[in-house]
Amino acid sequence: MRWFSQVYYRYSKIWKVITLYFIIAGPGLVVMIADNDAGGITTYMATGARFGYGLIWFLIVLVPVAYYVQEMTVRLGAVTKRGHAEAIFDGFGAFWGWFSLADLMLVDWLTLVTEFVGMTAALRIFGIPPYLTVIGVCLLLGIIVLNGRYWTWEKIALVFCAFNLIYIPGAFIVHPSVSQVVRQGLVPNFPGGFNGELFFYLMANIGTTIAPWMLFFQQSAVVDKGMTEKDIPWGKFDTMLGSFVTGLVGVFIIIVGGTVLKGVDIDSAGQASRLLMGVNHYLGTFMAIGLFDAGLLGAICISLASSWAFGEIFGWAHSLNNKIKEAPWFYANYFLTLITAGVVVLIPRAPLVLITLFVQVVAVTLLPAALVFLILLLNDKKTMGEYRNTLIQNILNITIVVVIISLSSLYGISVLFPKMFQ
Amino acid sequence: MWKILRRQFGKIGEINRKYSKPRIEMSMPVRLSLLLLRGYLIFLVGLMVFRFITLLR
Repeated sequence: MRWFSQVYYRYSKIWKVITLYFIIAGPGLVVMIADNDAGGITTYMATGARFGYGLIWFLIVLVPVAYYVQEMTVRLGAVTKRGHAEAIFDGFGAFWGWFSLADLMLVDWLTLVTEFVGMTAALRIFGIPPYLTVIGVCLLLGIIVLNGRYWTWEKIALVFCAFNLIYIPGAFIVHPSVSQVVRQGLVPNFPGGFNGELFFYLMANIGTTIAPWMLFFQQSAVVDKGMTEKDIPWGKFDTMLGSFVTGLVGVFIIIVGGTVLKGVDIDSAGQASRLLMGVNHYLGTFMAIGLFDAGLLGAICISLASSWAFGEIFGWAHSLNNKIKEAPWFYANYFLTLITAGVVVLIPRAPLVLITLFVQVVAVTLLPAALVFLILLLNDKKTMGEYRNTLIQNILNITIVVVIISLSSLYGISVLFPKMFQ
Repeated sequence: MWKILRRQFGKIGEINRKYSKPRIEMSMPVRLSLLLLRGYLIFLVGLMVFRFITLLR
């Protein structure tokens, strides 16, 4: 009897911890998995198609990097109760504040266009015309945010996050050789030698793993959720789990690309899905559903990131807990961003490829600034108190930031001058 | 509608005044970081402008 009561006590304790995690889980998981957006899927698929399993190790290295960068936004949001945009305005003055806000607005809008490109391409495979996709997505996202509760929005977003895992069973359909994946993928190497093309792919993978909108989004989400200092350990765990899942999904996409599309030039995830449909109907369907979900998840988060930022600065009510009547400007901004981005995709002969390239270049101008501000804010003793960066965190984070800034700058330059690294 | 929009634009001045002074202490490392950031951004924007002009030609 005593043994039973001990087992019951132990398991009920574990269950309580799991339940508590599911209440607190959210911003970290959502932002990390949303990072595997339409652009991310394309990058992973193209990486697999070009280098096989050879760069899987690099994606694994990026998992802790993404965690350490995003974890700082959890602490900053929970301690200051301010979003990232407001923290920059307050900490560094109006000049840097406006620069970050304008840059964020531009990057978010352009990225949102690329999400719509991915979603329309995915549903076109099932015969759904782009205009129906755009209308459907705008309506769906409208319904999700207008329910008037952050909690509900977050749990719906988590359901879409679960769909992102569809790439994992997708990889098993193609029967990859496990020994080859381990031998070629897990041992750090530079397939074909360190050349310009490889460098471009390495930087593209960094660019899809750490994006400026993620910093703004997670900090605002932490604030909107009402997380406090005592929730920081949970927020960190949430972010760690999210970065692990996003890395895992990325690895499985590379495995699919490396197994069935090796040697094929991949321009878009839509093209990859169509090719995979020819290999195996179920695989193609999985990939198309995954691509649509990735675009949708990206759209859910990115459209909110700029609305939150504008709300913080202009002093509008800016919480998902507000009804549309209570926060009209917040929702107006949200729908304006969403609808205009959707409409661009429907314009015949719109320069979508140019937009995709431009996103990367503009993001490069915002990312270094956002990262530098993040480190400086996390070292502000007056605001952060005991939650400021420790020496080890500073060494780690500054190293990460310096490497990211150097590589992302070179990436931006390589997008502007493609022949430079060939 | 015009009135509402004008009021929102009027807020920009208000925001500029509110955040006119950076709250973070401008120590040497902070100043240096911001200076380097400015230089970096000017370089990047210059590069983009140069690319734009060469593309137009």
